[in-house]
Amino acid sequence: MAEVERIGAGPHLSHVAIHAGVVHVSGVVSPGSSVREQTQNVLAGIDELLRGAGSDKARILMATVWLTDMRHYQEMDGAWEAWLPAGNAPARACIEAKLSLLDFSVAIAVTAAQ
Amino acid sequence: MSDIKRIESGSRVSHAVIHNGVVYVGGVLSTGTSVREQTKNVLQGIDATLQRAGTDKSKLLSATVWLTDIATFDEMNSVWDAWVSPGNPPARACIEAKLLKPGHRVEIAVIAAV
Repeated sequence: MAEVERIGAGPHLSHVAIHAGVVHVSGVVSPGSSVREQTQNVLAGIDELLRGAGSDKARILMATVWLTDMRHYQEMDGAWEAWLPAGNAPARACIEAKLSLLDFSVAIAVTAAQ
Repeated sequence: MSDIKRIESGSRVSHAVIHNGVVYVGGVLSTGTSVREQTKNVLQGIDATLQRAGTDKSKLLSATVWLTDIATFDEMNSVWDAWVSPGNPPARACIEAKLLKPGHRVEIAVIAAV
């Protein structure tokens, strides 16, 4: 059995769990004055977590994006597209949902290859 | 190519699907009068499915928690924290969503190493 490696393990969750060359990243939220800024900060946070796991944004397999209001889709998507390296877009799903931390408008979770 | 093994496979869904040393457990629901009770039952159900897959909660990689009311986040978390294997929490995301039936208040799906 391949080992499970965890980064940032707390009482509720690990920021990252790594197994068999696949990196599982928790839902990330981040402050910001707009959805665009929040998205940029979330993606910067994901960059950092992926780097710590020996991966990067060109190796994302699947992403789930939750928006508290689907009207913010374009704003999120603009920041997302500017962040993604060309030719390396992951599979993605985007859904409207309330988040556990009420101050935030966007949360993103990703799974990536190491 | 490695084989796919399914656990309690029905005409629409399997309770769990195993591939390449990873088990994917479908969203588990439960009856119960409170979020606390439902969370406890759901986690017991996940324990049972993980056991059938030949693994356990210390090997969790990722979890998605859906609550019908995000205000019950702390109530879910208190049961979750008591359940989770110390030092081995999965990556996790928690979102508010409508669930199958009006009585359902929490649903959890997980991915684990086998």
